[in-house]
Amino acid sequence: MKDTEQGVRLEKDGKVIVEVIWLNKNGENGQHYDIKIPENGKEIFIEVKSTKEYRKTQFEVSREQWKFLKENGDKYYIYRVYGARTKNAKLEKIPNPAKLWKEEKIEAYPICIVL
Amino acid sequence: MSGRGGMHGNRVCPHCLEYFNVEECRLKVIRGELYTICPYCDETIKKLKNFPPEERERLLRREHDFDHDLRNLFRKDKIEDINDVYLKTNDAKDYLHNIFEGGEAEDSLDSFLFQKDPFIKKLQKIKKAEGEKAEKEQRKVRVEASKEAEAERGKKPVEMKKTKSEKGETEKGISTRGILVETKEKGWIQEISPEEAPIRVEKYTPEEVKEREITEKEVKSSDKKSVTKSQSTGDRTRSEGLREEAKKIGQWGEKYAFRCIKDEMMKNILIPL
Repeated sequence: MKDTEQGVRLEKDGKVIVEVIWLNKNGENGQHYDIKIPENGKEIFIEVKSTKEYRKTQFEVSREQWKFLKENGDKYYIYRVYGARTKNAKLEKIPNPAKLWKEEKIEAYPICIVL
Repeated sequence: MSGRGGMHGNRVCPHCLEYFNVEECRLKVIRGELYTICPYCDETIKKLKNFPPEERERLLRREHDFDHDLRNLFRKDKIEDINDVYLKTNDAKDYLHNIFEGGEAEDSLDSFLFQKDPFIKKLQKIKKAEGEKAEKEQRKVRVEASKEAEAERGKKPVEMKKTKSEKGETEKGISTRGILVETKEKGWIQEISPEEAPIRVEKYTPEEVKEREITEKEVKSSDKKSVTKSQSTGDRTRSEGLREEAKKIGQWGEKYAFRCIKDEMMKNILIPL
């Protein structure tokens, strides 16, 4: 495993097996996701949402992120980090949030008004 | 009897026999007792306690107001130093000016206050002790910081200052590297670095959320809570401080998530997301 400028890469016999690109590794990137994993010709997008609380508080998703996650369906993950900055931190993977939303397994509260 | 200013005032100076108004006189403090200074001959006239009852009562009332005012300010922690007494005790300003700015006071304002009110005396002692403690702490932090800077220059590994809770953790064998020094910053500080936080990864189970009701209170409170740096259209009215903290939490979360992914890569070679 090799650390790269943008993340980490796993290589075998000089061939890249998997690569993880952490877009904000060197500062805020402004993309609609934080981590990208190119894999078998497709890309996985991960958006990390963190709170210091352990309980399931709400978190905000920007309009662009919302649009992007709907467009990318099962290629999009939300990694929910609870207890950030504590030794009891925990990560919860939420795959395909758009699908979960359509199936009413998660809820979204839109607050944006456009005139 | 007529004074230089005519029949003016309610007292007579026993030295120069001039009339004067006690309330307009400068006062003098000697060993915690108040004296009046004659405006004509500058002689010390009488102790406050020897004034006629009605006059004494009036002056004592004024004294009481002053003490009460000052006591409240101390209680509310509005008095930082002696200058604040002048700035903030408006009712007592003239009174204090007469005594202390007139250059007649033999005692300092501090000692005057000490003798005036045991409550203030106690508060001052506490404040002094607190001040000394804070100064000691600051010195300690400065020494730590300079050691740190020296070590940084010498490319030596640095062990950061340990807080009480960290000491407990060290005893249990958990490394303290990366843990922030306790700061005056209000709110929440970093307990552990994302590189050291134990890895815990769970798969999301929708049922839990489905069963859970999001209360109106939670909806409101969550607006104020820290969220990740990823939000770009967040509440613009949120204070800069909160935004900064939210950003730090977001960065921490990203590092932690990245580490979790790396850990999975190590375990599985390929990432089963």
